[in-house]
Amino acid sequence: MSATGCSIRACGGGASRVDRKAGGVFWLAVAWLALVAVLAVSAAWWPLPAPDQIDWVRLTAKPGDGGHLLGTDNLGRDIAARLLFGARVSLFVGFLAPCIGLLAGGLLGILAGFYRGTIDALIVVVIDTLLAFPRLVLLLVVAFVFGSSLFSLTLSLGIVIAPSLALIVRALTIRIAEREFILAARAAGANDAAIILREILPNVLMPMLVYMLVMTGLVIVAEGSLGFLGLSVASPMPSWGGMIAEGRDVLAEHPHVSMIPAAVMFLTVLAVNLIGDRMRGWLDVRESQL
Amino acid sequence: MYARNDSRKPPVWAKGLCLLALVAILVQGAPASASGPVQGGSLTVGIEEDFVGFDPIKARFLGAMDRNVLLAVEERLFDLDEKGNLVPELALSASTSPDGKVWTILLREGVAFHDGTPFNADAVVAHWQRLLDPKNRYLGRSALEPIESVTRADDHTVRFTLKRPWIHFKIQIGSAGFASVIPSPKAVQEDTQNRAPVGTGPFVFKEWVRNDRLVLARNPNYWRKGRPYLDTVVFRPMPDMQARFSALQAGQADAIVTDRGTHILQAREDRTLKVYSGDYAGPYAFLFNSSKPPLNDPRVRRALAHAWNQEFLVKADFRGTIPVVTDPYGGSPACGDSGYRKHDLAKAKELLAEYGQPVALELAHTNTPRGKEAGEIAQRLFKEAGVTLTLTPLAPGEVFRKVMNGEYQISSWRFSDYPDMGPYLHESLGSKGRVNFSGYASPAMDEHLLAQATSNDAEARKKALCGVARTINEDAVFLYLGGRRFHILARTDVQGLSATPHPVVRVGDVWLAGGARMLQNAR
Repeated sequence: MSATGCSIRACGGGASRVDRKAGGVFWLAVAWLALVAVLAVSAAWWPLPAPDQIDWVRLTAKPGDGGHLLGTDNLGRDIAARLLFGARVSLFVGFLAPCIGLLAGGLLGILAGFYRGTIDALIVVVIDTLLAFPRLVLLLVVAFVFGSSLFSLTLSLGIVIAPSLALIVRALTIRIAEREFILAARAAGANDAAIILREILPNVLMPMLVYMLVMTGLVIVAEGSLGFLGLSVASPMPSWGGMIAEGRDVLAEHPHVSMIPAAVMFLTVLAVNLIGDRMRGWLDVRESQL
Repeated sequence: MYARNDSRKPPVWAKGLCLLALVAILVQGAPASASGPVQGGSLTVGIEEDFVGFDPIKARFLGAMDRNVLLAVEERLFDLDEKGNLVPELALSASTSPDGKVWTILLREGVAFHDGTPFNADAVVAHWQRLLDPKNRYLGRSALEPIESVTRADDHTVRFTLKRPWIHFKIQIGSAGFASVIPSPKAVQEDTQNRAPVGTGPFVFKEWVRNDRLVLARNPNYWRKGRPYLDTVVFRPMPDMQARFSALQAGQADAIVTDRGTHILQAREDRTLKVYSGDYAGPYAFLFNSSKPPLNDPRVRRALAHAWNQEFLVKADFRGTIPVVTDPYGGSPACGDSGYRKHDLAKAKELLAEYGQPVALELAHTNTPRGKEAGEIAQRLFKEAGVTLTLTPLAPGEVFRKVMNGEYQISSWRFSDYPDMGPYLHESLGSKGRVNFSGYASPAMDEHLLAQATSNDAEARKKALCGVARTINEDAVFLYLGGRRFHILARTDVQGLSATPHPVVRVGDVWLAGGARMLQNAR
């Protein structure tokens, strides 16, 4: 056996060597995300017009025209400035909503997976109900009832992704709860809270964080869709999805109005997904080594 | 109404080419379109939004698109020509008494509604009495205020009795509004008129699938022999403007109604398309709620009027395809400048400083691209004057409800258009007006409104109406967002799109140039 195949450990080690090498693409993705994050934070300090400042003369100006680095949109507003401020919305929502989802979903998932029985059945019913409900409809209802603010947007997106996170955490918890070290902890006299906090949580946290990164991509896209429908943050705060929607009207003559924000959003989501993917690779390796 | 393909002067060589082409056509024989109307074919019209309904009381108001169907299925007593003369439709003649207070109208005989009910004086009287009865709460009744009663003289004669001589009576009964078209009394009684209209018109209503299509079929028993030309007409609501224009370009629609500047400009350049346009009354506006602070203070409203920039909105949002207006009349009467408050930031700031308190307002606008753009422009313009504006995008019906209940500060609004705006403005702006949703009241306005209502002299009445326009600007009752100019974009093989003062595709007159259509089918 050892002559033809390889031991599990040896194979795992090989895979680990391949996967641990991050590669240029990974670092490019990290660099892009870092750039967007830095620009979003420093948006107000750049020598650009305010994102709602109207250039009365230059509507749909080409990139470079009249001092507008990336041109202007239908209403003569600087696209570069709007992109920077829009990045704030996308990144804020993109990272905070999964955190909310993680908090709510993680809690439910661990409780269900750890206690099983009636609690599990109840929680699973709630999760299944939420999963069966069309997400976009849920988001539309929330936006309609509570209005479109950054807070309600983030919260509703967090709630929307919570059930799938909960399912994943529940499955992980069930698997971990059967392990020997849980039994050992219990034998040593640890109570439920201690087991959950000290034994289970550290073990589900890493996969959850990686999954959260995957969710970040999804949430940025979802925020874009809502912005496209005019249900993202309220004007004058720009959002990438809203910018893409505004440019649709002049897509044939002035494609840059839509295409520039679309390209930025595409690259950002791609970067997040690449990073998430790579990290999942590392994680799978570590799991197999466990 | 005028058709426009090109706003610029063609170069000389182009004229030469045209001449050459003309010679070629003459040599080869005239194209199919010159051989007169052709029978048959189906027309698909892309419209902006779904229809509201076709019963004047049930539908509450005439939807922007509903006229298209209304004028195909039902008919008026008279049509109006471009000079404002009555052209007989269901009626034969109209004569007035010497004191101008009684109009006697002779009706056409031998006409029947699509459901078999005969068209006669009873049908006309039933329709009008229903609208005029205060119990029915017909929303457009304010515009009919001068009419006292409508009675039957004999089987084919009706009598309109007026409270006073009314110069615009002719325009009222000949206009393309809810009041002037005559529905089948049977359908009204059975309460089916709203969803399935029955009239005497060239087309019979076939089906209406909400948000998908409304289909009309040729009326084989139409009293005008040889008409209509088309076999079927399909109206398709296509709320997405880009999708609507693409459908026209791809041939999925033969004509569309649109107000998107970019598409109109594109269509003017496109040789397979033709643009039909015309102006009408009832401007787009931002309505102020003058009954509550801070907008009850005219200084704040005036400041906002100076902060506002209608020219920029028309340029940015409509690409200059609608007119900048300074009165609500759409050109008749023409009042000139009317003391319009131009964009003047310094003046706006000065007025706000006089008011002395910080101003923060909420604008309820429709959640359409048009509403959103107007809102964002206002937000920025007001900000420059020091006024904070919060935007609340809402469905059009919700905006309407808020305004009717007075639960708003500023709201996007579309004034109704009437052939004679006088009676309607009387109710919209008068201190006791029944549709005065802005809560505005001023003695000067009331005086002008009374003068236009009671005057029987055309010149004096014009003066009073222009006084109304001047007072609107003086007191900044609302902000103008541009005048109403409709645009119908149609493929060039759609023939017979005739003069209409509204965005109506008058399908009764339309025929398809056979040659072009066959070519298209072969593709």
